[in-house]
Amino acid sequence: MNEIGSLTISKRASEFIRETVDQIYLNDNYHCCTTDKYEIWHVGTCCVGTCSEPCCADGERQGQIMTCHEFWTSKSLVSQHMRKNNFLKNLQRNGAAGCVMQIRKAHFLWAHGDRIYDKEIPNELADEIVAAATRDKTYSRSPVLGLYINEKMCAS
Amino acid sequence: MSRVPFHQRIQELRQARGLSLRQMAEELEQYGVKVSHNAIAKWEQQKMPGTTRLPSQEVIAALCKLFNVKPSFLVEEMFSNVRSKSDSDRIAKLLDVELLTEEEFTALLNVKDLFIKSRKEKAG
Repeated sequence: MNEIGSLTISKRASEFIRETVDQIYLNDNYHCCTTDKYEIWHVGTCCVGTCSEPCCADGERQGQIMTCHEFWTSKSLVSQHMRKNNFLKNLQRNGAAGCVMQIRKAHFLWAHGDRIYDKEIPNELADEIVAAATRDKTYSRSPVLGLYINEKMCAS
Repeated sequence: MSRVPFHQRIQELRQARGLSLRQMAEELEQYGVKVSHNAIAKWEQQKMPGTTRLPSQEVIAALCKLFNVKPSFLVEEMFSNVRSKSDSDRIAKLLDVELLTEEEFTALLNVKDLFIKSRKEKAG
């Protein structure tokens, strides 16, 4: 077991975070898009939104859906979403930071400089990582946004 | 237990390998990144408590190769309050040293020093 604040998370959850961070620095990741401020990258199983995984299936893509590019270029959305999430403050102060953002699913975000990396948190680990991030003030949730990558993204 | 800050971690790794700032800069060049010894000296300085001066991602990756460590080990300071239970257990066990006599405590420290010396010799 591992501990965040007074909460404990499983070793698997801790390993997921550490392995994701290791993967970000050592492996190639998917460069999704660039905004005025950030480059957005996706890690591991994330795709361009056209695969056959459930997250890409048409039935799942309903409601107010937004791409990561649209989210990170919208100052109002970013400020609204980050009101109780210290991610950007920590990033500005330390040069690197992590957080959890939950829209339809929980995602672990890691940023270094102007690059923001995103990896979906496996369902079985989401509850404990979300609880820990909430405690750490590095969690935010929006009921109306969806972060998706689609053909509108300029991938390079 | 607080995480080891990046500036401290990098200095410890460099010193454990017995590298000067210039030597470390030269070794890093072999991993494809060019940094000056002045830049390394700046990484090892903390401007203000609670702030960190991190090099680029490419340099972090090269540092990991040079010191044979994982990136999460170098940047663990950024994990804010994340603590492993095993860390807490270790601390709890160390609190027991209060029960040792001065001689026993010195013997314990000597064993620890031997392990660290052995590690430095292997690394160097």
